[in-house]
Amino acid sequence: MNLYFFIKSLCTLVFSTVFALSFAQTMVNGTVKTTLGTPVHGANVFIENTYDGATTNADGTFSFTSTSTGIVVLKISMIGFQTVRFEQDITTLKKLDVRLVEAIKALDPVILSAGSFHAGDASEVSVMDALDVVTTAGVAGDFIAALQTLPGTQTVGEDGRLFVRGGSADETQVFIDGLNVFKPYIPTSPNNPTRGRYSPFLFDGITFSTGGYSAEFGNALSSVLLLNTIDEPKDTETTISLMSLGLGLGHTEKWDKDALSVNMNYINLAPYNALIPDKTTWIKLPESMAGETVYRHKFTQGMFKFYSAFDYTRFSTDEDIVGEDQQQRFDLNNANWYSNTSYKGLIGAKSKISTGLSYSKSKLQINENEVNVEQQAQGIHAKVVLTHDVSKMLSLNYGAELMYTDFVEQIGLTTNEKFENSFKGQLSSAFVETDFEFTNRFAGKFGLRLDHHSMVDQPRFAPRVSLAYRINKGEQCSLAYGNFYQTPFNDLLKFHPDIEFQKADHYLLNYQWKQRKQLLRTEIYYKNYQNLLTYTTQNKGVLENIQNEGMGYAAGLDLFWKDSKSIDFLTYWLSYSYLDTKRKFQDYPTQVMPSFATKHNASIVTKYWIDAWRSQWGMTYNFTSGRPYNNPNSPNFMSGRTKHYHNLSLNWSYLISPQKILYFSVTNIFGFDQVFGYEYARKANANGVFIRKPIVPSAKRGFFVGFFWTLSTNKSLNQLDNL
Amino acid sequence: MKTMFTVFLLCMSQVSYSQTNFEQAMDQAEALVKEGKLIEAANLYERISQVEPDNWLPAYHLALLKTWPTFMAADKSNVEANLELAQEYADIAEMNAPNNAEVYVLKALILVAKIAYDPATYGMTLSEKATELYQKAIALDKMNPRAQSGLIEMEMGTARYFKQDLTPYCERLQKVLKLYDAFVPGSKYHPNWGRDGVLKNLENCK
Repeated sequence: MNLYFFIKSLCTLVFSTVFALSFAQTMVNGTVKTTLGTPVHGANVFIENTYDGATTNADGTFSFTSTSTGIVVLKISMIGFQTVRFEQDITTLKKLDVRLVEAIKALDPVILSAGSFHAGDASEVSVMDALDVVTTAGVAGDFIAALQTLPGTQTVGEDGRLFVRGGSADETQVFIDGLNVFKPYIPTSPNNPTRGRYSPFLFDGITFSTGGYSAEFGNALSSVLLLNTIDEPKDTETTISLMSLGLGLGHTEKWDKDALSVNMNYINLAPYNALIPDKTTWIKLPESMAGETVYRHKFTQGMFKFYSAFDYTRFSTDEDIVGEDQQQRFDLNNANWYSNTSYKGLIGAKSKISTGLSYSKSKLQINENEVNVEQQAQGIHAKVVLTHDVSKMLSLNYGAELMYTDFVEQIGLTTNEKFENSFKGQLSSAFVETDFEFTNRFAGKFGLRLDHHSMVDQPRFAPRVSLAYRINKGEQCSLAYGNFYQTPFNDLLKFHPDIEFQKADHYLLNYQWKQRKQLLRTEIYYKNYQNLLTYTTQNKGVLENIQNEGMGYAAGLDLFWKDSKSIDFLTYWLSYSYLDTKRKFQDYPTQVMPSFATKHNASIVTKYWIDAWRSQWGMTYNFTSGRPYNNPNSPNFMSGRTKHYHNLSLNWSYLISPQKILYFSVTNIFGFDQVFGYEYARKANANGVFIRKPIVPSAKRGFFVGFFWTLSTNKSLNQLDNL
Repeated sequence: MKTMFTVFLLCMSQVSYSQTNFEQAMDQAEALVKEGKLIEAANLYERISQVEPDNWLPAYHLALLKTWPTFMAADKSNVEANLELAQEYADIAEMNAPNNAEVYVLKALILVAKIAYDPATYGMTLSEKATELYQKAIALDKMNPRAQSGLIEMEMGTARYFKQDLTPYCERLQKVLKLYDAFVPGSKYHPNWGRDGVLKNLENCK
């Protein structure tokens, strides 16, 4: 056994020697500071691929020994700073003076933010989330109304659609998963505001661009609203809504790779109107039935979605005619079907494809003063977009799309006379766009779009450029320029006029400052309109002399401030828009400020969470300066101005349990007189005066009560009992 | 020849007597945690993780160390960055140990920390995701006490907020305590925490 002990000691000796030799200790030391010279405490300093290292002390110093030899890589890592590497001989790693540069997170890239607001997604420029949309006072769950609290929009109380920066509502196009929605709003009786057709809960990304948008989107002079349906719903659940206006039922079923959501709504204003009657003489109160469904399937490399919606609305009213004693009947029936399928996926490591097809069919029947108008429109939109990441700095985006419209209108008069107007038209477009990230501070997007319409004279090339420069962390400047073309709307195309595209040029300059929970956004813009359509109105609504004789401009300033930081539990935002615009279009004889435009527009939205009451209180205040209206008694066209508009709305949401929410809201709580314009008699009276009636909301105040209940099947209670 | 072989064997046994570098470093990191030197411990786990890129344990411990202190942090300025780093290492852990209940618990805990940090922003969106992760962990290993107690504590928080009766949750926590007692970690470096938290929570039940 002596031999054993001998060998063992020998081994120990040999090993110790080998260890001592090969693991000769080398001292590494130095100091770590920021670029400003402040010592960095807690940085990790180590030799790559070894355990050897140390943490810096409060004074930034570090020191450790390493058994490595020769050329090594010394790494210094610290949260919030860029990791530093030194590749040199270990013996030279002494008395190091390391300076760390603040990291610009991958999550914090330069964003081409000129013109656009993002909502609902986690992106850096997100200004609202889905919940914000629902809990904003005065919007009653309508995301279109919620967007109207952002700058760049005008409150047009009797219309309700999106009017952006001096543009008419037709100049905004809405897209779901990249595909055009032909009829984004529900039909309403004249002078009653509309709502968006689609439920905010189905979308998780809303991008609202008030100008300067990507070459991927066309046929819009002023604005695009991009809605993306939720990729992956949270859970299998059922939602029930009971509202003063109707009922809603939704269900989402989630499987491993598939999910299906169905949403149904039935709206009937009759019970509400029986309690709180409005000024309209209703024959049949608005009743509508709507349903939506989204199906998604996840592939390993992509996502397939099918979205479909239908709705049916009808109502009937007797309308006063200014200057006449009798009333005029107005009946409306509208049925609308919309479907879209889309696929987004990867092709290889560096390319993406995004493709889709949408189909819409709508039937609108209006009977006004015994003139029967029946319109049937069908639309198809097909689109394919490819994206290639050429390098880290450059990506290429290109695609093509086709939009087909088939429109038929039949007009039947009491005299048994019948007219028919119809057209079939197609818009074919292609675009190419490159995204450059020149440095991590400076990025640009350069695009070109080609549009050709079968009924419009010449194809058009539209260049678009946007640039962004980061000044500091969270602070950036961007600018955008572009040409935007749009075909005339169905109401004009049906007369087969010989015309060109309408055109707008956008110039935008944007400054944005963003910190956690605070955002300041200012933008100035100039928009130049050319080739707007003008016409003269003949009897029976026939339009003549349709030409591209119109023009105009819009210039303004938009301000936005959102803050959820300064006061605990309070989120608020302020919007202000200044707008200077004039245009000659439609049947305007001269270039004037159009009736939907207002010089000053401001909104204040606040939401305050009272934890002890499990309640959120919301308040929205809107102000709009006077709207232009035309007084036929005055020699100056469109020279009248209504009084200023004020609206203060309040809401209260109460969380009864995690699954049950009770919601109350009152719009125009102080009952301000709101005048949107004036309607004048068609003919002057005996004294040669055109008499008028103000266009006002049908009810002074609006009340809304809702109860929302989510039934989640995913309850884990009592799971332990199964153990 | 025989002697040579004996020498070789004996020498090998000599090596196995001494701890591996990995174990030594892991022990040292744990000691640092016990001393309250959390930054030093986290940095050491980071070093171990880059030497052992295929081992989920150092990444797991690093992520856990980046997450826990955020619940108590007085200075909230680095919370998001820390949780982001935690998430990064939780992903590394998941890559090396897919379908591991402990990793799912960790990922849920990171979300809970995010909710605790900013309930107004993350409460609605992340609480269901966190619940889902705990449920996945339970589905993978229903005897895992951390998965069970994590889920119960989340539900208990909701119940407390809505002033509901806590008795059923307390009863379930008592049962989980038995799971903790029966739990045998995979090695001394495997996750083995959470019992104290349950005991503390149970104090509220009296």
